Amino acid sequence: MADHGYVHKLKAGKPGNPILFVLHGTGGDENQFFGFGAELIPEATIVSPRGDVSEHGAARFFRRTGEGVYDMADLTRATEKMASFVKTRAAEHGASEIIGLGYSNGANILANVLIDEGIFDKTVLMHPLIPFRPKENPGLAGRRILITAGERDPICPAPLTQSLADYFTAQSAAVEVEWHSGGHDIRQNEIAAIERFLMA
Amino acid sequence: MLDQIKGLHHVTSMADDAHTNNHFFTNMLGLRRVKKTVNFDSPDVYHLYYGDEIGTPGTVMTYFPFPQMPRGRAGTGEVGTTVFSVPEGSLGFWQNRLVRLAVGGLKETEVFGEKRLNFAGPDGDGLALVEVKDDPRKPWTEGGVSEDHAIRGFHSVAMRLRDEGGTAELLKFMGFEELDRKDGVTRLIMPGGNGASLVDLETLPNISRAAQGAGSVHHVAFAVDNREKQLEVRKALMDTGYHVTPVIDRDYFWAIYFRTPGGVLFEIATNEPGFDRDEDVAHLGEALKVPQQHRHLRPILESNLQKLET
Repeated sequence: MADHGYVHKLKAGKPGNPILFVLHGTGGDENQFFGFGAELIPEATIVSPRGDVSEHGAARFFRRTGEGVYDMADLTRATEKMASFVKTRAAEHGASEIIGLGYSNGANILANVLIDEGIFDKTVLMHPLIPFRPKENPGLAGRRILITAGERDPICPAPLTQSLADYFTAQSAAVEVEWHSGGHDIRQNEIAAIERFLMA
Repeated sequence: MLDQIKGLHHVTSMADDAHTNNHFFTNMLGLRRVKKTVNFDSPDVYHLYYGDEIGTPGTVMTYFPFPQMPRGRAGTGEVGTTVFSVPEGSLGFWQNRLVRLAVGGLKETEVFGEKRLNFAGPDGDGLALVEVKDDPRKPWTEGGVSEDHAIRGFHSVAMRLRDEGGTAELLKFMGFEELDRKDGVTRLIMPGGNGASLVDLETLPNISRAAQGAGSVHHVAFAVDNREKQLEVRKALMDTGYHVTPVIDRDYFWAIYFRTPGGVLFEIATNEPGFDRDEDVAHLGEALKVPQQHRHLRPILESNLQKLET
């Protein structure tokens, strides 16, 4: 039997409301965005899983062999596990809408689940890095995606952020990109963009 | 309002086992397998098409059988029931046949005054047969079901939605008209359609979203005559604010896709060039067809894909 569970934090909303999955970056944990998620959509069910891979003690959602070099087999494993986790929790809570928000490593696993399975109605990818050209997926047509990024982000270079946005646009997803002038840090204008995006 | 769309084109679903799926639609339901090809995005997976003799738009059910795929979970935001048209007076025959073949989920119902037999596909797929008087479409009869009983093509699809409003409005924009409304179901019809002209919208505000998997419909496609009409539809949808994919060549038709307000993925597919573009009608669906970009994989695919009965 495949492993579909994560250690996670949960705040149950009423059935018929959205479910929001918040995913931390490398070295974060289930507390990193849990409160933020609950502030963003107070009526939603909030689920915050902890990455099940440890890199010298730092939690991640899938393995890498170096900075920006992914272990593709482990990414496949992690993508299937996360997709199954998301579907199960969404069905359990009778969710009206499935929303994902992830930062850095959390954004990367979220992006890959979206690319493979298209299951999120709305997705917020904060500083994602997808260093490969994803496969075509017409199922992404009309999905709403917000990408936030830093122009000088050394971990997620701007051209790769742009090519991920271009990929989603080519699949006819509704993509918005919010840049700030800094690096891998989270800034006020990106928070404001997330609030606007989730409100619309 | 658009006038280019002519009814349903095909319905694409997901399955677990290719052999079981093929057996069910050809030997049990008596449809013709009109094409055996592979998924464009995952060429290690079959794409199987079942329909009438030539795979006329409005008759074609297609499947992606992903080995070991978990079952989907029924819910809102998807096509819940795919309904086929059979001749008046044939439901007794089908009831006996499906019981004998141990098909699950058999249930006789009446929807908008039509006699219907609901049943489950091999992965729990929501399927039904409905008696239609004088459906002029010519059935495939070499699949073991005689002309008196054979499936004519699609009758309708029923979509499960939390709120039908946005989807009904979209379908009306696409050229459908409201025909009837009863017990929380709204029936829309495409006037002058191809026979596969009905869509039912079921409003289920308290049901959770569907989780796609084996037995779930992936998308429903609507028919236009040709690429010119398709581009007109694409432009009109984009002008209305829909995010529509570019035109994608699917070898046997051209496709565009967009997401509807209720969550169901719609496709607009052309009736050209059709399933006989690379095979004789006499031998449709027999040989493995591999899309151009995957031709180099043919030896691997031929040895790895499950063998299917012809």
